Formats: sequence, structure tokens, C-alpha cells
Amino acid sequence: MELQALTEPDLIFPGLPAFDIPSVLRAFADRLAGADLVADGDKLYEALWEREQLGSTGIGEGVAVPHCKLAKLKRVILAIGHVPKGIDFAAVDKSPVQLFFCVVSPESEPAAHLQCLQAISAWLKQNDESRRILEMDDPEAIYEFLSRG
Amino acid sequence: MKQRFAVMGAGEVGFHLARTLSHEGHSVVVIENDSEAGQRVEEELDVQVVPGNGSHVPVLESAKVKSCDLFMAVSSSDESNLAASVLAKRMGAQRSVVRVGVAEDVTTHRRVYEDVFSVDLLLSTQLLSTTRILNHILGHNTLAVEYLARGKVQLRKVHLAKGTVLTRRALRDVEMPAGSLVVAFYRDEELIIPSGDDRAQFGDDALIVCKTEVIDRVERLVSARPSDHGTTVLAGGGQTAHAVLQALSNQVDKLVMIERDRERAEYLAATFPKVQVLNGDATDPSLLRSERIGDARSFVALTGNDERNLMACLLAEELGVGKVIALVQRTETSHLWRKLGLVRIVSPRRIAVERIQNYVRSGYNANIVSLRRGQAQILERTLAPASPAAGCTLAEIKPPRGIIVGAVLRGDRVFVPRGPDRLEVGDTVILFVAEEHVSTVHLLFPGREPTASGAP
Repeated sequence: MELQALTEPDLIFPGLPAFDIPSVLRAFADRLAGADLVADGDKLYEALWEREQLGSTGIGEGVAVPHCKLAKLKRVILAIGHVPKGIDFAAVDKSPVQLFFCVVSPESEPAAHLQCLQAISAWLKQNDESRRILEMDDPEAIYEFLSRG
Repeated sequence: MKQRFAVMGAGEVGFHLARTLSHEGHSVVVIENDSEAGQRVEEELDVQVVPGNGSHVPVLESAKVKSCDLFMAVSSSDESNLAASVLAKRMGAQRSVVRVGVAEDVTTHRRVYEDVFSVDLLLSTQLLSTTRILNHILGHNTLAVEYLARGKVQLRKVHLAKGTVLTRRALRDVEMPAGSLVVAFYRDEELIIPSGDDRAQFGDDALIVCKTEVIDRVERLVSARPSDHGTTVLAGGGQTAHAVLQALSNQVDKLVMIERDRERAEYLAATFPKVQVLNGDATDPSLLRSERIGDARSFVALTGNDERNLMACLLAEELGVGKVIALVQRTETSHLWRKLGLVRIVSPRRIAVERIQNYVRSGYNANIVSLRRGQAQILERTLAPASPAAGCTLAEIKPPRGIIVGAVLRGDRVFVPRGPDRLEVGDTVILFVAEEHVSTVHLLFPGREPTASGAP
């Protein structure tokens, strides 16, 4: 599964205005609702928040993958954002998180949802230089960078 | 590196732990209630002794448990051990080991104890002894057992006998009994999480997850043991014997129990209707002869009294029993037994000391999965609606090499999932994960280890 195929430059948000877990999730929820990709931003926020309660999606080395499944969604959506100064996201390695991959999938497609998460995890493992995204302010440049690996 | 240890209870286990750890250069404090036992420690070992009951705060304060790397509660009282563990941890001890008597506490309820009493390693000497005794009787090659999913699933570390099918064929071509799965090999201290193309090598140990019901069939595959076990005689019907009977009742052809106490004999006869219970003395030569005990394949002396066990074993050996096995409490006499030709001896205290030593040496890894810290983890996760894996088939998940979904507990049913099996919300899954994949697993199978309340 290609990461680039799941997102688009309009869904890449460098420098998200966020300072804690709720504000990161809220920022993604508002932007995806604003782009008309999800019907209800509040519902998306709640689902992302609920998933964090099961255990942080901060997988270490400054990366988190907040995600959830929603009803009445057309396809898997991948949005990317960064907060260069870092946020305490209760990550497994306890280090602050700067890079966020937010995945929202249709409830009816659990396999596609899971495979997208696996693809992100695999991409990060292959790309030692993934942190270079943090230096990029241009969504197009980040989008291009995703085709690596 | 020098560490600080506190040992509560200077009985056989505590004494040997204190001796071994202080010989290794660590700082050891022993907490002991009984002044005579405490004095013995002071005279024989170079360790500090704090007199008193370890379940009392002032005693723990004097022992400075707040700065110890490991608190070991190994006294003969389960209640004191558990209470002391909670207190010691709350006061700042890094970790705790607690010894309990009854096997079932560990096999079925381990997580409850670990959670409620803040225990890092819970062990039952009875359970460890039972495993060793079964190895001797059945010819199993089990090195260690871990109990998962409330005892419905076991993770067994077994030594692979020469010529076993696992060393001859690739894993995908080995017909494992339904409900079992090979999850790892140990080769030269290295843990290998295999794929279907891999084959074990002679000398490897294997880690196998299996439903309790198929243990014997799995052991048959990996060991080179005779196809029938003949008659097994147990002398002495105490708690360990009870646990052995329970494990054996479906596995051997004929079981005979000799118990002196009439009431206990009647109880055992009622509990195990298939077992022939003799109310008599296992050290009585005429009883052993008249009951043709010499024809038995195995004889196990479990009377709880070393002298009686010794006498019974010598008689059984003389009568021609194939395998004579003895439970020996006093570890310092074990070389004498060997001198008399009795080599199959099981010493509960020594096994417990070994287990705790391994725990310390592994860098405090309570699982048997890892030889060294940081190789692999075993995780037990219950799937919530928000768990990404919920609703996916195993084929869809397609776990990469390094992640194995070993077993699924659904209601009362346990199974080893195959490609088309779909994971559902509420399932408890047991995962084996190489260290480099742990973060992926946290993402796909989020949650905490099941605790006191168990699976929802």
C-alpha cells in the first residue's frame, strides 16, 4: 500500500497549531470536516480521543499515528501534520511527538484501515530520514517525500 | 553491577537465595521472624538480618526496602508474602517476587495477583515441582511453562529431542496438533521467530503455544518417548500429588495412589474415580509386593517426608520399577540420594531458587520468552471496538515476520487462528512479538494487559 495514494497535498498540514493531545486531535478533526471529507468533526474528534484512551498511538521516536473508524465514510483518509516543537503525547518511549499521521477509515473496511496503519509503520521503518519532514513547510514537498522507500 | 536485594523468609528458599546472591557480590538483607532461623543466617552468611515480620512497615523500613532492586517474599505464608509485596513496592522497592503455595494461583489467577498485590513474578513451588515430576513420568522435555488466558493456554519451552519431526521438516510441512503453534526457536541463546519455511535444528529449544488439552500430543511430537506409560504409582497423597494426578489422569494407562491417612485416601478416591487408591504405607514391603508395585513403569514418592520417600524409593527400585522419582525437601541431602542410585529427584526449593536466579540474570524478565531482555515480548490483548485488528481476518492482517498471533480466546473457546479466521471485538489474543515490532503491535492491538477484572 502506497502512502502517497492515500493522501493529497491538501491533507498535509505543516505547523499545526497544537500544544497537547486534545488540540492535535481537534486540529485534524476540524481540518478534515472543513474539507468535507467527514460529515461531523466532533464525532471524528471523539473517535480519535476514544482510541487514544486504549493506549497512546505515539509509537516512539517522535511519531504518532492517531486513527479511528467512522460510519458513512467513502474511503481511507490519511492526513499528515507536524508540530516541530513537539507535544507530550504519552508515547511509548515517552519522548515528545512532532510528526502525526492521522488515519480515518470507513467502519466497513477494517482490513483497509489496518493495512494503512501497517503501511505507515513499514514506511517509517524503511525511512531513517522521515524526520526530514519536520524541516519541510511546503505540503507539496512533504507529499513528494512520501513516495520514497 | 552490585544490586540490593531483600529476602523475606529464611527457610530453604530464602536461605539459598541469600547465599547465592551475596556470593555473587550483591548486598542482601534477610527479614526473618523466627530468631533461630535468623541466627543461622547471621552465622553462616555475610548478610544483614532484620528480625520481624515482613508484612509490617517498621520491619520493611529497617530492611531499607525502599532502595532495593528486588524484594523477594519467599516465606512459608502466602498471606504475609503478598501483603509484604504490596507494602515493599509502595515503599519504593523496584520489583517483587512472591512465592505462593497452590499451583492454581499461578496457572489460572496469576494476573489478578500480579495486579492486586503488585507482584512482578509470582511463582508456586508446587507448580514448578509438578512440571518436573511430569517430565520424569511422561518423558517430556519441558523446560518451562507459562500460563496464559487464565490457564486455558500454555506456552511451553521444550527441548527438541534428536530426530523429532520439527528438525526434519520445514514448519509449514509439520502437522502440529490443532490448537498448537510453534512460535519461536532458541538457537545459541538467540530467539528466532520463524516463518513457515524455517526448520528447527538439532539442539534447539522450541517455544510452543498450545491449548491445555493438546499438551500431551505436542510433547509426543517433540520428544522421543515410548508410546505408552504403563502403570504409574504415587506414594503420598498431598497437594503436589493432587496436582500430579490432575495432570496425569488422561495421559497414563493406569494410576495407583498409596496414602496412609484413611480420610485423605477416601477423598482422593472420590475425586479421581479412575485412580486405584490404596490406603496403606508406601514403606511397607509386603504391601508393595502384594500390590505388584514392581510391575509399574514409574514410581513417585511424594509423602512430604524425605526419610519416608527415601525408604519407599529404595523399595520400589529393589522391586524393579523402571523409573523411581522422589520429591526431596532438604536440598543439602540430594547428593546422598544420588549416591544410592536415586537420580530422578525433584527439589521444590532448588527449583524455586533457580527460577528466581534466572529472573535476576535475565535483567528482570518474568516471561520465559526471552533469554535476554529486549529480544521479544509476549502480549495478551483484549480487542475493543476501536482496535484496528478487530474485524480483520488473519490473512488480512498478514502479520510480518516477527509478529505471531499465537492464540485467540473467545468466550470459553481457545484456538490458534489460521488465515480465514476473523478476530472479533471481545477476543483476547496472545501475541509473540520481536522487539523491533512492538511499536507496530501497540498500534494494531492497543490495550493494556488483562488484569484483575479479566477479559470483559
